[in-house]
Amino acid sequence: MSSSGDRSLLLLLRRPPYAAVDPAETIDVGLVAAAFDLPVAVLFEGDGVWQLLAGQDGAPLGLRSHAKALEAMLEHGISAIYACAQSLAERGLDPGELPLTVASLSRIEVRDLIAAHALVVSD
Amino acid sequence: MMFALLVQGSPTASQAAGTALRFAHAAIAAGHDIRRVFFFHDGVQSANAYATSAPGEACCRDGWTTLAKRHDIELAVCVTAASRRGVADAEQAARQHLPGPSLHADFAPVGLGQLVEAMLDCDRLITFSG
Repeated sequence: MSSSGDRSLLLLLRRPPYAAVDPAETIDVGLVAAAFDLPVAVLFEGDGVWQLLAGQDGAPLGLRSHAKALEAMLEHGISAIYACAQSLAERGLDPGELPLTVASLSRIEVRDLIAAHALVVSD
Repeated sequence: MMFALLVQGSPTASQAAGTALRFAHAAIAAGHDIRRVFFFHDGVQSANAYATSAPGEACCRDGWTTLAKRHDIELAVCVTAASRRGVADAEQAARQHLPGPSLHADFAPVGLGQLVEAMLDCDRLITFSG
């Protein structure tokens, strides 16, 4: 297995949770990367912030609930979870009401977060 | 520089696969190396053996296989994402009782660990999303 060195991975989740399987597949990349001891952070931006809502149930749509994917991230030690403050505000979402502890970032902080990661994978 | 490419966009519903292929040609022509191209999300359709192009349309799959043979590039396909989209290797086809494999023989069915290894081994990972 290769060494992660100073590498770190940022997952950039920008799609709504139940429009496609892509966000769930991208979260799987994070879980595997964490198993390789690669530091993983996750940024929810744009319609991707809908993935953070409490009380989700994908079953009526025949899909896995994203809440379970988010729980799996925490179980794999992925705790650096960020959301774009502007994306939340535009959708009337309060970071304090989200089920996860999420750091809310300004546009400039989002830019700096992306720049700070050697590897960025979007959904 | 050593590049790894992550192709996530459909070859028929986005420009991602065609752009990735042109990027690969340009990078190699400029003296860079590409060891592995990883196909994920709808990008796995680039590995569909049954896809055929209309006359006058370039076939991304054939473009990849030609490039890969010439420059010793591994074409890796996420087996889970592919299976979900009907692109099955021989093992999956047998397990699911399908008439036969639909994954083109020049593409390797692999797990996401291979993507992470590609991330660690390359100088730059370039993502082509749909």
